[in-house]
Amino acid sequence: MNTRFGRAFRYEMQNYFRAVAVLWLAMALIPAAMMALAYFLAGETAAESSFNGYSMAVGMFGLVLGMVGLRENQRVLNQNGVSRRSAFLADVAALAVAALLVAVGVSVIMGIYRAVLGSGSHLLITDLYQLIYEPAPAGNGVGALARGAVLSTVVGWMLAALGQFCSALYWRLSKFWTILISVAVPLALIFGSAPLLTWLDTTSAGRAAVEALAAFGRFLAASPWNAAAVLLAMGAAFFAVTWLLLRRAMIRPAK
Amino acid sequence: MAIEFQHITKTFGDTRALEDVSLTFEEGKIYGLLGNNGAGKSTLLNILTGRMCQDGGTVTVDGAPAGSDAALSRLFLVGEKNLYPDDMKVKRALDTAELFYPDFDRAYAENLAKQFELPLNKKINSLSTGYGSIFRIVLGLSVNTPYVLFDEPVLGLDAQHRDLFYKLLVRKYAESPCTMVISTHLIAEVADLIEHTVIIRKGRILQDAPTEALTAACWAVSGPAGLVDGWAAGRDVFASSVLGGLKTVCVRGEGTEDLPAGLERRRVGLQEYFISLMEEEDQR
Amino acid sequence: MTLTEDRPIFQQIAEQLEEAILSGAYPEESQVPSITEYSVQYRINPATALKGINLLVDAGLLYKKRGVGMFVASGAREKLRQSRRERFYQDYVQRMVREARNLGLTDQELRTLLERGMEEDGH
Repeated sequence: MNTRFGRAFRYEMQNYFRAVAVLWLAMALIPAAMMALAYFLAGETAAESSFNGYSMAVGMFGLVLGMVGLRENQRVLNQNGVSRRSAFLADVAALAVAALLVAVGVSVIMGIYRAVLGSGSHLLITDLYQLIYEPAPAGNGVGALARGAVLSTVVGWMLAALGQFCSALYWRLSKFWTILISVAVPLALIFGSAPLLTWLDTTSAGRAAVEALAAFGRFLAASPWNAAAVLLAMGAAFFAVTWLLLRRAMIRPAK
Repeated sequence: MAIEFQHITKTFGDTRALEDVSLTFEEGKIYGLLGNNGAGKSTLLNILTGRMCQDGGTVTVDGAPAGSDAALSRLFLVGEKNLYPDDMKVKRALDTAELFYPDFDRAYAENLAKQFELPLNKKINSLSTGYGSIFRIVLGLSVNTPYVLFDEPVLGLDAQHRDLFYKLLVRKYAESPCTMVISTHLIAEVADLIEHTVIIRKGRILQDAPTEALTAACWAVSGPAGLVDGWAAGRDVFASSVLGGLKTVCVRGEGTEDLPAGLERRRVGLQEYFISLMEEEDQR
Repeated sequence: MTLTEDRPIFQQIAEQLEEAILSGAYPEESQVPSITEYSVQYRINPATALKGINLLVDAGLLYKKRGVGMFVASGAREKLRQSRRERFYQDYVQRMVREARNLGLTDQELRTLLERGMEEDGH
């Protein structure tokens, strides 16, 4: 751990750990707050509420961490004598560890809630993993939680890679292209989705595309490991492109 | 063991920031990298520290390519701007330096902070220009790397703090010699400090010589214009100025021979030499 | 002492040291300030300070005690007086004569001035 990479990794973990701890706290307290609110508002007759935001939370966490950290870390680490490459590799590793910490912590919290609340409570703690792969009640065990944690980790890491890619893209693009893309992409989504859906529905090429997507979806849903493999590959791809963009970027102060 | 620049070129758009720059910074000397704003000093240092890539040529630090871990861990740049995260406190920056630079002297750094009255608990981005410079100076003087680079280190510093900085720099260098490169446009202040002078103008190296060699070989001779012209004919004159009938020429030469009556001679200080050199180049 | 631009710095350091030895400010067999102290005091490169001090070492006016520092050699004061006397003619007399001639003073006027100077300084 005495290489530049090792020290850079330690530095980043020190930073990320604070964010991880905050997320753990939030994930622990929010369902409890929801329950309290439900009881407070409607008493014992409150309808079932469910909280299934855990995988999404890990994903969002990864995305934001990936986006925010790239340039800031490259700057500080360069000032402290770390090459771009080592800093980048430290990013990749630290983001993976952070995603793992969050995913595991979240799974533990979910497990505790379920154990404490039992099956007849008004608050249903579930998550995407359960919904897709191992529905309750079979999916309530520790094994399922562990597998869910693994998948969440990969989701978080892949989204972190996406975040880094976006950050690197904006870093390298000139102001003109930054504005263009920032405007064009939302516009394309808003105005392009209706025509796209029509195309998918009406043309044979469109329908074939839908079939292919559906098949892909079934593949992903068939086993968590399929999804994990695909996400890992995507994450690696995003990181690879990020590195290519990063290699010749100019490290400059924020202002 | 040295920092070596070989035929470095760098272009920004249609501006040639650096043109065929070859330089060596040897170990254990204090170098002055002198030039006006925009001459290319910062670009050179940014390339050295891996913050930007050169278009052509190579830069190595003790043989390792600039920007690599081996190269970067051997140097520290006290730059013009802050690269630390906005919300980081000074204290945390010291912690970080301690993490990355094994020879970082924490006690010395805190002592310096006290001397400059730099508050350790303040956020870096809330420091004034002067204290931002002081913050970076404190780090630079405490890392104890073989090469320390100062890019306009005294920006915003009042006279007392500037004096303190130069004294600390000299003491540090005297007690534990390393290579220091001071890049500045405040020439008079560093003239006596730098053992070796590099003058850069519009991306090209104009002079690269021991300071003593430059200043010992330059003289200002003045007197009645006619006399001066007569004496200066055939000599290496690099600047001249006229005030009424009194003419002064700057010549390169030994400066030891006797002058004809009516002519006076004095040494040319580094700043004056620099200014004259720039004027001569401007007229080309 | 403040540094001027008209002479090399190492020379000014050497001269300042000589003055201090002559006047007794640095007595014989006492330690003179270190290179570091000189460099910091005048904000100069230590190599320059070293060069100045070495001039005196070469002239036998200072010697180095290993691990301690530089000391004024015994007999340095007398040595300095001697060498100053030898330089007196060049540094003062020759220059005075040339300056007097520059100003258009006759040799007799110069002698008168000399007498006056000697009287006013007393003995």
